[in-house]
Amino acid sequence: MANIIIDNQQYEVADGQNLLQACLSLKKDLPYFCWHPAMGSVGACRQCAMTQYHDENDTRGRLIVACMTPVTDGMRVSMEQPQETEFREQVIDALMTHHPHDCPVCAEGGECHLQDMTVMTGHYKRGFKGKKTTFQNQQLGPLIKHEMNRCITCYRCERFYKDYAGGTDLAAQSSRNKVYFGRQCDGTLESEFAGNLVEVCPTGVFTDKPFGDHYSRKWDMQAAPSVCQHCSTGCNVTLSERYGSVRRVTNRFNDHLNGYFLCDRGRFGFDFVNSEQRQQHISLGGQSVNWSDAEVQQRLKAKGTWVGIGSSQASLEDNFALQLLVGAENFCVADDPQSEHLLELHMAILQQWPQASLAQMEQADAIVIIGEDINNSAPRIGLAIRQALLNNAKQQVKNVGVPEWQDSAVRQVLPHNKVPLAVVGYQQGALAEQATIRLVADDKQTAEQAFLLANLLCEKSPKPRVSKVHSQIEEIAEVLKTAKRPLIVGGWSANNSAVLSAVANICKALANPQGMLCIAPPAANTVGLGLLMQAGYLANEAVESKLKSEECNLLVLDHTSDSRQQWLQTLSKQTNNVVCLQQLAQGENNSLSLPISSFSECSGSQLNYQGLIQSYSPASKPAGQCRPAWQWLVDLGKLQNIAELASVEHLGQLHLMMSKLFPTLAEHFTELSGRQFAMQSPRYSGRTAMLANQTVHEPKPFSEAGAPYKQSMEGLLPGQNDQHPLAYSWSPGWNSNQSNHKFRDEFRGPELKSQQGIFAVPNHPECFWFKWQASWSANTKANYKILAVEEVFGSDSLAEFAGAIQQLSKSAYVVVLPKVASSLNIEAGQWVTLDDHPTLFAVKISDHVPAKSILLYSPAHEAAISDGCDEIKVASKQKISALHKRQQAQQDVQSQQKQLHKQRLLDQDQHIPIQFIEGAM
Amino acid sequence: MWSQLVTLWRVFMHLFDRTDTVEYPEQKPYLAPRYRGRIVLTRDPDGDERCVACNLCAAACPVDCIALQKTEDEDGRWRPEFFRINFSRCILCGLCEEACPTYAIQLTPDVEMAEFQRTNMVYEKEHLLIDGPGKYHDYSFYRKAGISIKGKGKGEADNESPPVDIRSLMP
Repeated sequence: MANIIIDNQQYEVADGQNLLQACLSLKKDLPYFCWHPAMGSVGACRQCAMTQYHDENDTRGRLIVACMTPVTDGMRVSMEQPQETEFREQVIDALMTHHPHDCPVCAEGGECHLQDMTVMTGHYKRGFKGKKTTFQNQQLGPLIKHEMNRCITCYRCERFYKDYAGGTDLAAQSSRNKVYFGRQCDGTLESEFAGNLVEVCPTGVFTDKPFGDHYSRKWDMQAAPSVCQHCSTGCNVTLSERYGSVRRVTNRFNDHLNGYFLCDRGRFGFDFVNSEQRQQHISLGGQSVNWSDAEVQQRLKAKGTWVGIGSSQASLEDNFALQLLVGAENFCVADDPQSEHLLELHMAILQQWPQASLAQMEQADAIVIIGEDINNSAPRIGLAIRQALLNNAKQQVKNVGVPEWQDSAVRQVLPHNKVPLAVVGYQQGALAEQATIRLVADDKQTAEQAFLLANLLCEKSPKPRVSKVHSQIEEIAEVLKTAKRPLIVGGWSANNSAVLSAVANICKALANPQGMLCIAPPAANTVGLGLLMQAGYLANEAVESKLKSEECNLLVLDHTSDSRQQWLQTLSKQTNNVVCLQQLAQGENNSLSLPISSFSECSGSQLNYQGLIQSYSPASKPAGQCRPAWQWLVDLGKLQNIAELASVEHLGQLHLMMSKLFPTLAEHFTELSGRQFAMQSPRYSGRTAMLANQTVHEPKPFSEAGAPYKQSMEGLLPGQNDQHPLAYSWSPGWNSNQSNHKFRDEFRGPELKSQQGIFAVPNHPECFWFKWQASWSANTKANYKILAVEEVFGSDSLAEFAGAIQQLSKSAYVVVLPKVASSLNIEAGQWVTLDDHPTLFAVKISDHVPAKSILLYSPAHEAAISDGCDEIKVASKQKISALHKRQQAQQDVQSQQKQLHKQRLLDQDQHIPIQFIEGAM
Repeated sequence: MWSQLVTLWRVFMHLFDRTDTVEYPEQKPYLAPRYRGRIVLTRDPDGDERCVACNLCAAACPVDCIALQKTEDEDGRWRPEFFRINFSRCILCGLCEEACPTYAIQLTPDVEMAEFQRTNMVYEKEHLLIDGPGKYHDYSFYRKAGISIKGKGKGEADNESPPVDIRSLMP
C-alpha cells in the first residue's frame, strides 16, 4: 500500500497502479480518454493532467499525466487547482476543434464519454474560429456504423482492435489533423470482436448499426441484468428494452468472466427474441388453437408414459420442471448417444477439476489447446487466451522496472518474449495461427497424442497402444514441466470423448496446483443439464425403443439445432402425441406446440462451463400467449395431477425444490432482502404518454414476485446495494459505460480476487485416470475422414435467427490439403459435392489439414453430414448456377426481411402489449 | 396611521383605472407570441420537419408526457416515427422548448384546450406538426450538423472544409 496526498487529503492506495487508476478507484472525477482499464496506458490524449509537488513547501509543482505516473509512497499531487483544471479544459478545447454539431443525431448521445468529459472540464465554447475538418465514412458491414467526423484521435479503437483483439483490418491512417481510423477500403470488419468498438470508442465514431435501426437513448431504456445465450462462457450482459421490444445488448462488467468485452455473436445474436419466427400462439399442426380447446386438452391429458427431452438452450428451472413432470427415469438429456456420453464424461471431469475463469486464464504462462477451436466455440475465452500471450513480455518489462500497464513498452518487447502456445488438433482459427507449437492431427490422433503427453508428464498415466510420440508433443511436455501456471484447454468441438479424457489426464499428470483447465461445452446451459442428469435420466438410445414398446407421449423443450429437428422427426413416427415447448416456430408437423418466453422475457438460471450458476432477469414482458416454459409445465402438472409440480405458484418455490435436491444451489437462490432495484433510469421519459394512444390510464409498474428488480423508475439506483448485479451502469456525471469505476476498483492487482458466486458442481478432491478405450481406435473406412469445424457466425443455431448475424454467416465449405486438391484437380474457390450429398461446398486449401481427412463447415441450419466421404467431385454447372440463384434470392429475401423487420418493430412500438401489464384496463 | 390612509386612497383611485378583465370568450385577451400555450412541431425554412427525434424534450419533460421513437429516412435524416404529447398531463412549463436543439418544438399562445374526453387530449405528430418555422425563421439544424443527408454531403455544412483526402502526401 502507498500513502498519497491528493489536494492535501491523504489516501491509502494499492501499489503498482498508476495515478489515474488510483484516483478513479477513490471515486474521484478525473477526466480521461485514451486510457482503458483493460488496455493499459499510452498517454496519448493528455486529458488526465494533474500537478505533482516536490514536498509541502513546493507551491508551483509541475504538470504530470496521471495515467503515465505510477503511484509512489508519499507522493503529493493536486487535481483541483486552477493550473491543471485550466489545462484540462484547453485539452478538451483542442480535441473538440473539429467535432461536428451532431449530438442530437448521434447514437452515442446520452451515453457519450466525450460529452461527460466536456461537461466535467467545464468547456462550453469553441475557441478556434476556422473551418472544421471533415472525412468520408466507410461501410464497415452490418454491425458497425462509421462516422469519422466525430473522432478525437484517442487511438482506443486501434489499440483494442489490433493490439487487444488481434484484428488486422482496422488501423490509423494519414497524419496530423488528418488522422483517420478505418479499413484500407470499404468492407465488413473481420474481427469477431468488432462490436466492442462501440463501447471502446469514447464518442460516436463507431456505433451499433442494428441498434441504430431501432434506436432509443440510454436513459429511456429499461435495463435488466442478463446472461448471454450464445455459448457456454456465460458472459454477463445488460439487455435494454423500450416500448416492449428488446433494443440491444451491452457488456455488463464481470471481473472473472467477460470483463469489459463481448464477442459479436453475443452482442448482436440476442435479436432472435425479436424474430418473425417467434411463436406467439398455441398451435396444433400449424393452426392456432386455444388452451381450453377439447383437442388440446385431450392431447395434454393423454394416457401413457410421458417422455421429456430436455434442452441445453433452456434454463435450469425449465429443465427441472420438465424433469419433475415426467420423472427422472423418463427425462432424456441429449439428442444423440455421443453427446450424452460426452456430457457424462464432462460432468465427471468437472467434479474432479475446477475450471479456470477467464481472468485466471489471462494469467497463464503456457497454454495447450487440445482438439478445440476455442476461437469459434467460445470466442470470449479465445480473447482471454490471447491476453495471456502477453504475460512474458509484461514480466520482462517489470524486470527492468517498468510497470506492466505501460502498454507500448510491453508491445515493444513482445516479439522476443512469447508465451508458449501449443495447438494440437485440426482446428483452424486465429489462435492456431499464433501457435508456437502446432501439431495438425485428426481427432483420434489428437486424443492418442494427448494421452501420450499425459504419459510423458507422469508415467502412471494410461497409454494407448499406439505408436510414436510426435516431436511437438515432447516439446509441449517440456514446456508444461517448466511452466508455473499452465492452462489446458479442451472441448466438445471434436465431438470425441477420448479428447476430453485425455485433457483430464494431462491435468492429473501435471500435478501442478497452479495448473488450470478449461473445457468448453457447446451450449449455454449444457452443464445445467449435466447437473440434472445426476438425479437420473433416460438414456438417449432407450427413447426410441421405449416409444416403440409402450404407449408414450413426447414432451420436448425448445432447442433450435438441426440435429434436434431431425431426431424429432424420427421419433414422431413412433408416437402421435408430441408436445413441444418452443420459442421459435420450426418445422411443420402434427405436434402441439406451446409458445414460451425467451430469456429476455422471464427469469431463469443457467450454468456456464465452470458450473457457475448465473441468473438472468426479464427486460420486457412476453407478447401474445407466450409464458415461461416452467409455467406451462406447472399447468401440465395440474392437468396430470402431479402434486409436487401442481403446487408451484412462483419461481421461488421451484428454486426451493431445486435447492433441496442440489443443496449447493440454496445459497444462490436466496430471497431479496430490502428494496427492489429500479430497472428504469431516473430520467426515463414518456411514462405518461407511451401508452396514451391505447389508454390514458397509467398502469402499475410490473415486477415478478420475489424478484430483486422492478420495471419502474422507483427503487434502488446502481450502487445502492451490491448484493445483486447492476441493472445498468450509471452514475451522476458518468453516463457512459465508463461509470463502471464508481462501483468497483479500477485496479486489478497481481493477486486476483477469488471468483464470486456458487459453483453448482461440487469438487471431489480424489481423481482417477481415464483409461484408453479400445473402441476409440476404430478408423473410418471412407476415403476421406470428415472433421467438422465451427464458425463464430453460423454454428450457433439460436443466433442465426438474428438478422445481422444471418448476414455474416458463411456458406458451407471444405478445406483440403494442397496435395489432395491437385490430385483431384480442384482449386480454391471452386464448388464441390461430397458423395451424393445435396449441399455444395466451397473449396479452401490449407496445409493444416490432417492426412486422409477434410475439414468441413456446414451452417447450423443445414443438414449435418456423416463422418466420412468417398468422393469429392467438382459440382456441375447447373448445380452451381442453381446455388448462385438460391444465394441471390436468399440475399434479396434477407434485405427485404430486414426492411420488414424494422417496420414491424416500429409499428409494434405503438402497440405495447398492455394486457400483460398489471393494473391496466 | 398615515400609511393606512395612503393605502385607502390608492385603493380608491383604482376605481378609475382601465379594467384588464375581458369578456372571454366573446373577447380574447392579448397573449404575447412567447406565451406558453399549446405545443407545436415546426418545419425548417426548406419545409422539412425540424424534429430529429433526439429525445431531449422527452427527457426534460417533468411530467413525462412526451413519447417518441426515432427512425431514419431514406435521405439520411432522423425523424420521429411517432411523436405523442399527452396534453392531459402537460403543465405547459416550456422546458421541452428550452431543451430542443433544433427549434422544432415550440409553445404557442393558444391556450384554448378543453375536452370532455381525456383521450382527445392525446396529440399525435399529425396534430402537432405545423407548416411554418414558428418563432425562429432561419434556423436549419442540418446546415450546421456534420452528418451527410441527401443534398448535403460531407464538408458542405456551414463552416466545414471539404473532406480530407487521407491518401494524399501533401502537407
